[in-house]
Amino acid sequence: MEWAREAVAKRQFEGFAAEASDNLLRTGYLMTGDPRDAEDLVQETFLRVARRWNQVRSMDHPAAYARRILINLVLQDAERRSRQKAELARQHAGIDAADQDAARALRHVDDLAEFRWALGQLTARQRAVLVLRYWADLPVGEVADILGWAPGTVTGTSSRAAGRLAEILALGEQPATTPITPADHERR
Amino acid sequence: MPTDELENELRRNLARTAADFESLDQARQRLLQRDYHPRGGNRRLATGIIAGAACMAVVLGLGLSGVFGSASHQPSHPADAQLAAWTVVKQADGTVLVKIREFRDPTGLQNTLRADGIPASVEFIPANLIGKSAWAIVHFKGNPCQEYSGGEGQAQNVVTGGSPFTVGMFVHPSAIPSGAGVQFVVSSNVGYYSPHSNGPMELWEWLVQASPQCTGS
Repeated sequence: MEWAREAVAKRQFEGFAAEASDNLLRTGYLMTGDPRDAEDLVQETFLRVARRWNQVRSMDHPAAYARRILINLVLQDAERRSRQKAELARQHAGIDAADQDAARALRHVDDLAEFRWALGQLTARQRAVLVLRYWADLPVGEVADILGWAPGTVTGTSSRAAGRLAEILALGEQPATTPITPADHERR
Repeated sequence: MPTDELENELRRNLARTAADFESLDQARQRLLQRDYHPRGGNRRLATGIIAGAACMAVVLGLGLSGVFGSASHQPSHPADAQLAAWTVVKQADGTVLVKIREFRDPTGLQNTLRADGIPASVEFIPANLIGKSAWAIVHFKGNPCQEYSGGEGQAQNVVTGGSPFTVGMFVHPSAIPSGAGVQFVVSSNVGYYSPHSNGPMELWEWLVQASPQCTGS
């Protein structure tokens, strides 16, 4: 009767996957800016969840666990790319946009493609903190837990990321990077 | 910390961008059609099933293969009360989408399925079936149906889709062997992951011999 046990697990997993897929796809899309990359990310996420399904299915929030996996996949990939391209990294002094200016720049975003492009100019960690804080609407503590940061690092990175996003949008071209901090030192 | 105004603008633009995901339905469908081989399972239920003798039930583990969100779907029975508990939608190709939300009105669901060309029997069993064998689950006391010989393999072509309580499952009337019908047994408290249901549910389906007392004809 092993087939029956596996069939039940499979049905449970498929129920979970059906429920979680849209949110994960959109999260992946915000993190990568590319639907195909998002799909690949979600597929890898599902594979990893499936490997631990017996533990995951008993969690209070399996979808949150899957989201954590997806975010960390993006960050790990960014870290890998960062190491590969370290010699190309440049540091520029930047100017943090004031919050009011930032809000004004974001308010004038009529072209979603421009916003998506600007989001893609941020580091993966900056994107992650913005997506988790302002799209998933997670509290600072939960974002800190997912990213393995201190809460203060989340708020600081969030603020810098928002400012830099506004700066990118205001300039309409790839701007100078903001000063590198321990929390967002990696490149895209 | 960004100001409230900036946070609101961020939320608005991120939401718009996320909603702009093109071909989301196709991406979802491709994802759900892949076979992920989840490890583990419902350990408590499995223990009971393994302990059972000569299990005749077909507990289907299936890849999703249907069409989601097709504009051609037409509710067979649009009554509010029925839609609140379950939905039956007959598609243009004859396939019937069934989604069960609540543990209620099995007779109504059964009659709706029969009206859509599926010789069906539907039983909702509110008992906790943990520890029961699959044989016991589908041979519950008073079950008007009898197993259809050799139906195990064929049943997997009759019902597809792995999420009867979320996305839905697809019943293919054309795949039902002559003289056979389908029995759906839904029970509660067996650990099914379904955040929108009133509680954990599980569903079994198996092929049965068509008869007036079982499938209505």
